[in-house]
Amino acid sequence: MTEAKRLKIPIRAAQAVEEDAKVLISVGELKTLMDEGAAFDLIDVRSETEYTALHLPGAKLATRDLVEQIFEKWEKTRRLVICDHLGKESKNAARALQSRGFADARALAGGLDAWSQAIDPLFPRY
Amino acid sequence: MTATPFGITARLAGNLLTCKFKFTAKIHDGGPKYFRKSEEAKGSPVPERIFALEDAAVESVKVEGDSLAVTRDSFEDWPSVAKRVAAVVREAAEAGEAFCDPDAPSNIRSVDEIKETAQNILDVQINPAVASHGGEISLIDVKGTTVFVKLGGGCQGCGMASMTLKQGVERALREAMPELDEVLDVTDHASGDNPYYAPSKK
Repeated sequence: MTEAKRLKIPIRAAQAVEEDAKVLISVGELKTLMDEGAAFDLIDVRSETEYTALHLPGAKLATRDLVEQIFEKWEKTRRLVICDHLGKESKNAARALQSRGFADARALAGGLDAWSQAIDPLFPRY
Repeated sequence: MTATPFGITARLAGNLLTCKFKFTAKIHDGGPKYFRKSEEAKGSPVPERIFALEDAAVESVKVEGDSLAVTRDSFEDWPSVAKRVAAVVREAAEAGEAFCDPDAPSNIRSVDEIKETAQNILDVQINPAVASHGGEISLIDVKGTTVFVKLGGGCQGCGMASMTLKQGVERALREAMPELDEVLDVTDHASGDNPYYAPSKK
């Protein structure tokens, strides 16, 4: 029993890592997509105030209208990158999109805060 | 050239109107200087250029050691403003130019004055209002121009607490003392560039 208990944690962690890989995109990968001019939609799920203060080039604010449009009209094959401040809500959003058939929906790992730290130090943290 | 690259990082304060830039090298010797309007920046090259940035609506500039705080009248599109501020600073630093007129007045209250004003605002404006929710906000410390407060009573653990702090306390304190850097909650050690740690008791 003790043996099984001891094994439980690493197995769970490995599953979580595998699951994350299906739903996350790193800031480095996003930068590459941008630099290559790849076709993708960047959706920002923060508040309108935060979006007005700062957002990544080309990012669209996830208004109610846009979300409805995505679910009802967008091709399920479109590549979507969801971003938020710290990478929590965006993960839920990407999971929700994947469960609705958007297989290429990913959340920006660590959110815009990670972008400021790893890619652009002049994209202010907050 | 053996000079290390001049690194700049930017962080917005809770009200999203002030951005603090930190540099890997000192940009200003002597005490902090706070320029409340463009006229006050005359003769201080870097603040003067920052006030002059087009469509940036810069309201004040504070220069201190290895940091610079820019407050605007609008929170729109900080990345563009931050990049232009950084370009001005980098150019001056690389040219070895003095940032400020050494004789420009500091315009910054002393720590004791900030403490007194902040305590007064908490006593008269803030606490009577939050008391009805069973909350209390106390002044813990002032370091330079950063104010550390503690949310107690009904505020603690309340989901609205950080919003209360950011929107209410920070706005009231900043209105009275616009030169303030940040208002931080001591219970949140991770927040800001300069989180508060109580001095060790020895």
